[in-house]
Amino acid sequence: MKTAKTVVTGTVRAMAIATMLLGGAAGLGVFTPTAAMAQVKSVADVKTLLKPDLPANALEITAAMKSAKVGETITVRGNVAMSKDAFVENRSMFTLVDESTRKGCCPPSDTLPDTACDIPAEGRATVQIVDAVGRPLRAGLNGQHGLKQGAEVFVTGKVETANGNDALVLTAVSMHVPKAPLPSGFFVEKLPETAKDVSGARMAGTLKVGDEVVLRGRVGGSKEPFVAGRAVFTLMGRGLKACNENPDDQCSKPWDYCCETKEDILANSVTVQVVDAKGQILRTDMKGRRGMKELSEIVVVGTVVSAGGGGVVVNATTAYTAQ
Amino acid sequence: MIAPKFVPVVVKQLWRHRVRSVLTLSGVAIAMFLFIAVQTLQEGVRRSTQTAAGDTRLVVYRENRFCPAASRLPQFYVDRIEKIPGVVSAVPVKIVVNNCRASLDVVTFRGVPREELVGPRGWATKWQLIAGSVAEWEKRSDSALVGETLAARRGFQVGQSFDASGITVTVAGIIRSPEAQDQNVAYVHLDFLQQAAGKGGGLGSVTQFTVRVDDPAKMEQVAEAIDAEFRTEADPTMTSPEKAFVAQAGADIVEIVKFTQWLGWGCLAAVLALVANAIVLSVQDRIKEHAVLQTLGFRSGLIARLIVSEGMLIGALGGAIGTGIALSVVHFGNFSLSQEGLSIGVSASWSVLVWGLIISAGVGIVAGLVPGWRAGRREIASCFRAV
Amino acid sequence: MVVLLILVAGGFVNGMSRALRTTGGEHNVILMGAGSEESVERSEIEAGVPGVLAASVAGVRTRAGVAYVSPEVHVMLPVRVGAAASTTTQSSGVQAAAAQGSSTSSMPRPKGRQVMMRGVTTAAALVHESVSLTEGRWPESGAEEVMVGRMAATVLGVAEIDLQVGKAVMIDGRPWEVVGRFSAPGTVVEAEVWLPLADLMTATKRETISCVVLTLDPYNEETGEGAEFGDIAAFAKTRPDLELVPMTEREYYGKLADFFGPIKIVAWVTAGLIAVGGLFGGLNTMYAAFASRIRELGTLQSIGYRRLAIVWSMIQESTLATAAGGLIACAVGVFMLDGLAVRFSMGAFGLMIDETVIGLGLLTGLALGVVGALPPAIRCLRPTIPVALKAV
Repeated sequence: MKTAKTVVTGTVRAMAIATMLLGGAAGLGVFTPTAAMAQVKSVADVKTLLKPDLPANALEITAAMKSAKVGETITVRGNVAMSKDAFVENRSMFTLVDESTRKGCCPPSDTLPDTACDIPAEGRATVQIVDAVGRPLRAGLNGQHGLKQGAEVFVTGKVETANGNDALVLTAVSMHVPKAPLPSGFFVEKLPETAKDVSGARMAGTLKVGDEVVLRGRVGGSKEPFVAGRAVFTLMGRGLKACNENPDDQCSKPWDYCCETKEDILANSVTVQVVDAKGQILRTDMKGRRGMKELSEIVVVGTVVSAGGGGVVVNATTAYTAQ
Repeated sequence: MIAPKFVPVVVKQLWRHRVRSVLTLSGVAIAMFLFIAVQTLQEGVRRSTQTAAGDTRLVVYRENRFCPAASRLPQFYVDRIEKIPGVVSAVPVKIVVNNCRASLDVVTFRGVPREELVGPRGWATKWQLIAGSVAEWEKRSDSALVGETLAARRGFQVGQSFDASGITVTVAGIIRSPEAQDQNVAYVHLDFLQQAAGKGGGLGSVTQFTVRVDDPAKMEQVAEAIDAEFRTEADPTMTSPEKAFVAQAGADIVEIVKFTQWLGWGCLAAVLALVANAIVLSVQDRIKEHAVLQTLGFRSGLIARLIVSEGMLIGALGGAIGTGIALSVVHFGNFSLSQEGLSIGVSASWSVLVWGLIISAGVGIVAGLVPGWRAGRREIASCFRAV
Repeated sequence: MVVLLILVAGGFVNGMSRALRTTGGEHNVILMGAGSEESVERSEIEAGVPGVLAASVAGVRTRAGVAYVSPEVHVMLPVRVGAAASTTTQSSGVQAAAAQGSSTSSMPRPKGRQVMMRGVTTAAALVHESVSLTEGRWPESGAEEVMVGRMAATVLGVAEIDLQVGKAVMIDGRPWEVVGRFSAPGTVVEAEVWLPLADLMTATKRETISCVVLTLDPYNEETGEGAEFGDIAAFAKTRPDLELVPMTEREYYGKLADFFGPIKIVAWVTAGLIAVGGLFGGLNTMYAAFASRIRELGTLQSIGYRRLAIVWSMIQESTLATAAGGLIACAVGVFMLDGLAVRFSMGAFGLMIDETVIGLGLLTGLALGVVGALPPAIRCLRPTIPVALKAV
């Protein structure tokens, strides 16, 4: 009996220890920094890096160039360089550029220069996808997963090289490639002049189709003022108070202006969209770009395309975000 | 049944086979838990759907409609209803519910005119304010007085905002009401709800009228008079006593609860089987012992009663545990079944507790009868020969 | 018994979940009024919205020039089935129901059961691909005709024969003739009554519709044709005056499934409690059964059998019994309960005892066998061999 008891006890102990070890390993896996989890083993794993959602608060390349420190994880936005050497042959590496630093106009895609020399060094970053030992994967990325010259890419990665001036190399942890990029230069650095508040413009009642407008407002007007995967959002004027401007308010979503009537919300709002050459709304998120979120103050420049039925829709050509 | 001096003997028998007793008690407790849960449901349905002699409330609804979204009556009907003989008061009520189907977590808004709630004979006079105040409710147009059950279920506190059915309100107070329907709703201002509900009729349209009559005996008569008044209108009415209306609108719930009666009987059968099983096993183990007792002078009748007492004790103890847990769960769980904006509260009462104990003890007695009778009838010699 | 209860609970939860989650076309989008996302019956949108949608949104599926856009009214109404069962002519059933249905103040108030009525146009047949007409024809507008789903009889609590083509039902105090029957296997649509949109709007005095259901052509990245849900959401955002909320049809019914979550939990908890109760009873029996064999077990040990082997054989013994019971329960479940129509909250669905539920039932039986045998077996093997051999 003692032998049997010993055997049973020993077995149970061994199983318990094994369970604890496995659990610990799993637990460690959970708490391991994201960077380690993102290392891919092969080319087939590259797609696991691609995320459907646009990461918020992405830095432009030039801003990241100045602030990035080696070892930290940052998110940058840029476009794949419009040059023949944008992608390294047979390696998972490409050049990401800040188009706003381009000297001169962008080239048509069938006459690409050999190098992206019209983008200064402080507007260029290198992105690589590495394997478990830190070497770039041995496969090209051109044409893969939506990556091509000119494509807009959001990269979250670990800074491998950064000199604070003109060198930035990132090892990608995750990437987001919008299905349609925003036009280059959509976001401007300088506040447009003569911006009118949305409420004022609506109250005047003079907005009509074809009018060029410069409107200032805050993102809001419903529980979800952005549309996932589409470049469209609602802008509210200052004529109405957001819920959190009321004393003692405890709304969890103050941007829905639930304290106001639906008619008032409609009369103090415009819908802003960014369209392509065919007039179709671009298939990309707006939330997260340049820190845009609910109740963000935005100034848009564009054209009124619809002013019937109580609602106004503006095709935006540029926008300024008050950060 | 047995003299008090034999009670320790019975207890010792249970204590001797602790594992068996615990298992039996646990099984009985679980079965009684389910049985009592079913009973509280039945009780809730009875209280919500059976018209009592003193009831004086009628509900005037749109004919052939039960879902609040589908019932739209012009608010001006109230003046004509109040002129009908026998009617003491008629209150227009707008109801918005997030879903008409039956479930456990439904939010119902009831919009009533301010003066009907806070007036000297207003509804609020019958309520107990657990938190907040009616004065706070009066200050804001989007404020709500939330029933205790709903507030507990959703964790609402005074000052908190919540939204349901596309309507956002702020909790001004939490109420406790003797009426089952009030416990699970949020009372808001009528005009606020009419506007907030948007296209659902808007201002001037309500879901129902709650009518109070002067004489309970004349309820049917007044109901018919009201329906006759609007029979030829574009929106004819259907008037019935409030509880009868709940029974009809909540027919699905009533049917489900009726079906659970079978579950309740099944649980009692399970208690019987468990206790009988335990007693039989116990008796089998003690055949020789019973023979010894008989040799010492214990009458067969006493032995039989000792065994029956064992059954009663197991039943009663298990029943007490199961009933206690069931009533606690019901009390703290704040459950209620809702349908069509009406709710049937599941609540505990002392009578259910007492009945539960009596029934479980009774079943225990019944379970012990046959083994006890058989044990008492055995011959001493044959018992000694048994292995 | 315990396994059968587990099968019933599992079949109930499975059937309800599946019916709700599979209702809804893969590429269908439903647009309803803001604030009504939990329940389309509360929704109201302008009757002109379908036309605006068809004109404004590219990528809506079309066939022979007909857009897959279905304007609908969803409302729950009490329906009574006429007592006149036989119909020699088309009108006689209607007349009999009319005669029965006409009420005077002295007659007892009719009650009826609530059933989901859906006012539709012929576009619904395109949009709701799971629906197929099995008997009769599509109801005509203005003729007070309806068509009923295969499970409508279950919801109404009547025999199938009472809803045959030619029979009459009372809706809103008027008789309506059943001219067609449809099926939509595995969905909650089968429990509905469909009638022409205009007729239902007239009967309920509505000028608005409940929703629009449309089918999108899958988006083709290369050609740019087709549309995605985001395109409909963007359209709704550009027309805030219409106060529309878009949702995929599957998402809508999925939310409805979540609404019934507490009911499902109650079903599982009840079955679980009964299983535990049964386990306690079984443990008691096993304790007694094994206790009477302590001497036998002691003998086995003395001739060389290891305790582990004895425990294993006892578990096998117990498991054999419970497995046999479990198999019988599974047979009863599969042959007698699977597909059994259950009426619940203005809808109906069939119990779905599929491989998952059967597996769960069998596992429960096996687990009961193991758990029911282990403690008594261990207890009986605790005494030393000499003590066991001396046991009575």
